[in-house]
Amino acid sequence: MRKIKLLLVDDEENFVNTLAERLKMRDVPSKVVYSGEEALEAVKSEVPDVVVLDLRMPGIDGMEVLRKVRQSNPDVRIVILTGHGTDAIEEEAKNLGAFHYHKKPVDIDELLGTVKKAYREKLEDAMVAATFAQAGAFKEAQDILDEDK
Amino acid sequence: MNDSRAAGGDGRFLGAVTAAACHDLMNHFATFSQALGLMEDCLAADARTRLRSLGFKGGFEHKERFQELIAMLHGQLERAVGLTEALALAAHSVDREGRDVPPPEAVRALLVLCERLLKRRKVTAVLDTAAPAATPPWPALRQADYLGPVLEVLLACLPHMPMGGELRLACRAGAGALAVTIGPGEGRFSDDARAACLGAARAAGVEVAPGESLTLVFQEQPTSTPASCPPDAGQAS
Repeated sequence: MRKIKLLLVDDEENFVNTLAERLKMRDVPSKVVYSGEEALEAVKSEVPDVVVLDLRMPGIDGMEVLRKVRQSNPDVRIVILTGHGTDAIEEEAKNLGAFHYHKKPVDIDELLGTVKKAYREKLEDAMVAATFAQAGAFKEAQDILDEDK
Repeated sequence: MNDSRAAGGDGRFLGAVTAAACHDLMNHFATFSQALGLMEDCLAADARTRLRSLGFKGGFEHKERFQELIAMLHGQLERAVGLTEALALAAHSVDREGRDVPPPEAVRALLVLCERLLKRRKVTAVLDTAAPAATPPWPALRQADYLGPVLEVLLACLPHMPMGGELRLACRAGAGALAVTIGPGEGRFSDDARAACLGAARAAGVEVAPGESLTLVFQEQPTSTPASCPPDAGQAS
């Protein structure tokens, strides 16, 4: 199985670098960026499978990144990892299509489990869509891909 | 209810600042937590290297001591996170209507924050979670409307509690009011404790229901709409 293309987005550099190091030790390398702007650029240059995204960042905040990435790349799974969001914020993120919502501090294995689950779901959707497309059922294939929107 | 300070601008300002600081603290705690986790990972990696080399290579002399210290720091971190969560919850009290945080949860947060004060007399405070089967919707009260007076009553009662005693609290809703009952774990309050509690309740302008138990009653305030506060205060980070 190919490696997960994972993008970590957080303006807390110490936190996100340590997190990346620990994920690498678990054989899950990742790309790290420190702002919403960099996140959008990173998604444009190489579409990730899963994004772990902080919400409050200077400049373009996480919610805006979530909105934009879900519009441009609906198949990318986005996991929110935030300091202490309120229930209302969690609901908003989920309504915008966030795959999961974790509060900091999070257990690394719990986070990794979510990332793997998100990746598996993405692969399954892609495989089902490909099967329909191979059978000539392009509309059904497109519907499956659009379900992510 | 005459806690005008809590309901006013100062209260809102402090609530917003505290909530924002709590969210920042959570970010710091997350960094501590990951750094501790990385130390554990490094120790585990070291152990694997040693195992692979049949014990001839690697091996950190102080590994066990480090593991103990890391576990201790994880424990402290857990306490700090619990306190910060409780503080964040209580800090929102002056910014918002209480509808989104059920009063039992808010009172529980208050008790977490008071733990150190209670410990001075080795008193434990327990929130009764056995809620009545049919709980009507909680009344629209700012948390500050009831948390402040409950705290004042607890503080007044504490010096009169026996060392190692227990306080039991319960929240009930009914007819547009919130009732918070405070009592000792067993039996009834001493006359001194009861008088101190009643005095604190009166000073806070809170209605006390007649009866053996000490029940503070907070009526829903139709005009208790909070003024605006900084929109970003208390948001996620």
